[in-house]
Amino acid sequence: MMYLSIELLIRIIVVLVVLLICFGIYVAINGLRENYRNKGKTTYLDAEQENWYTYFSSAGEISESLIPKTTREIQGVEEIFISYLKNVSDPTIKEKINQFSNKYLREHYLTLLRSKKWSIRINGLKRIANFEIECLEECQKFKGKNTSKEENFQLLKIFSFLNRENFEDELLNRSTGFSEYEFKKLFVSIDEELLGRIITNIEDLPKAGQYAFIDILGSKRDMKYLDFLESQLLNEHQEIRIRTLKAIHSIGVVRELEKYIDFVKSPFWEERLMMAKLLGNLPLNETASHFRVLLEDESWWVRSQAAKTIGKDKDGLDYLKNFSKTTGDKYAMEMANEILLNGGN
Amino acid sequence: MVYSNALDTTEAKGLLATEDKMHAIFQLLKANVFRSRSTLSVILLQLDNYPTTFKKTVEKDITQFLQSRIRESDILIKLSTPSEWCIFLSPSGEEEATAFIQRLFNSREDKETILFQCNEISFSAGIAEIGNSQAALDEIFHSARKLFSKQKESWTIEFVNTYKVKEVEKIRVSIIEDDNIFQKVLLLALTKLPLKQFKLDIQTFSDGYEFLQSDWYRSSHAHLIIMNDILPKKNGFEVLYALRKLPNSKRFITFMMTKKKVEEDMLYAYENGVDQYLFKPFNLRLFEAQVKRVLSRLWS
Repeated sequence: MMYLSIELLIRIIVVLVVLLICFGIYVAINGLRENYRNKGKTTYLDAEQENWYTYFSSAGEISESLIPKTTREIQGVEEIFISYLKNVSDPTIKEKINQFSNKYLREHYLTLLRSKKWSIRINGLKRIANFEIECLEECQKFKGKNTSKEENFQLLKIFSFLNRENFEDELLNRSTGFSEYEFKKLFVSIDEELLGRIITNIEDLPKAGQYAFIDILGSKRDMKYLDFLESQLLNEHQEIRIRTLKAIHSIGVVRELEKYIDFVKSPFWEERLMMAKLLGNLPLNETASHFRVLLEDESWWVRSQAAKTIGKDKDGLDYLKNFSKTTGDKYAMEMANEILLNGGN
Repeated sequence: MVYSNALDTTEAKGLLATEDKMHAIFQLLKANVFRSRSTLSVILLQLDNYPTTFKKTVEKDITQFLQSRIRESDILIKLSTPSEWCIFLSPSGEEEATAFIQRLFNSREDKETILFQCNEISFSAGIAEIGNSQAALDEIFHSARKLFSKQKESWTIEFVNTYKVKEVEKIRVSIIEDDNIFQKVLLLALTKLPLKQFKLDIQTFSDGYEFLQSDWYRSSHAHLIIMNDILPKKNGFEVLYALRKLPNSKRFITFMMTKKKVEEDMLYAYENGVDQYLFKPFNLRLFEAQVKRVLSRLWS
């Protein structure tokens, strides 16, 4: 057993109390400093929000009071701009934000880019990407191993408007290690012309990029991507084919059923499941025989989806009634009856 | 020539009331103008030219004829003033009343309308659209008669516009948005919206919970609610569900703002009573136009 003298114990306690007091004072001072700094931003926001609204909604000149004088005021302007860009779609407002940022904030962000701290550089890049600030030369200096994945992501967003000619090359060079989510975030932010150009180089992208690209095309719900998507139905990778079927289902147009027929008997249940959804885009009289196969599928998911899709058709309940009487598959019959019992849902 | 019982074969449609009930009926209809946000039209019909003999019989025929032409929701009153009738068209605006009178006047050309074929009579009509509670029937009649006295031709329609202006209605507005800056943008957009007929009483909330905890939504006013689908504590769908469970929930006009174009969510929201969907980012001018349109449709 260890023995401590009372005197030593008191000394330890005193030291700890002193340390605690010092730490408390440090936290309090930091808190006060942060409050003081935030006060500058809050004061700017309170004073200028209405003036920004007036500037954005009228043809008037910019008022002197809107130009930020301190870093905190710049943060106030950033909050306002980001909120407008996120919530309001108006080309005039976007143009005004872009002009103001290039005139009054550009130097500030270039200073941030030169910082040795990653967190400061990334903030600068984010704002340059948000406000589309002209600084291609400075951004192109980010090369080599020292550029992080997050910086590359922001740089690609910046190059999508500042360096469009070389965007595909930049994408291939800078997207190493990107997750599917990061690819999606990038593709959702770029325009249709660039998307069209990526189509021709999609094979060069990593698999995560290809998956994300197909998902984004599906979310666009534009028939002009159908040619490309239909070509991907023959892709050797199962995941690409499944994503493609999903994307075509989102677009909601099946042009030539023959191109899809093989998927009804695909060895992969996920492909058959997507077919059970996709066939719902065609008249039931054209797809009835394929639905019969899908309703008698070995996978519960496929059978269930096929029955649900049929149930949504105006003649679906009659089809299911007839199917239920004629099928010899008791699982398929149960599924059909379940949908019939729920009135098609 | 006088043709009595000219309308034997025509069924009476509207209500024929006596003059002693006229003011009470008018008060009732006038009170409904504001409550139901639909205008009422008062028509004073005056016979300009009629045979001096068989006057009573002609007036009876005209009353019968008019009663057959008005709708079931309209009320006809034969005034004690000679050769004058009052018609309440409810709910109808000036345009509808004018169309009704023109149809009535045009029937003089119709050979099957025996009343005009058998009697050389002509009318003048005065129409007053009632949009506010200040309207007084005697004033309307007085103004119409004054206008009749100045006119040179029969078959003319005069308009009494004194009570047409609708009373300014207070509309409650709630903005439920967690982005403080955008909340203020919406507040400014609505505050600066030029509206003649409505006064917007606006409050902002950062969350659905904060909104539902307040008493703000418990009033009989028409209430415009602009809310996000995703909010920190209680989301827009929960607010919508709570509002639609309330009695007289039709007074709530709901705008749902969203960043996601998810059809399932939209279907759910529309089925549960959302009136408008706004996909972020949206154009503020478009938003203002939608609000104006929705408010203008409150009055029929």
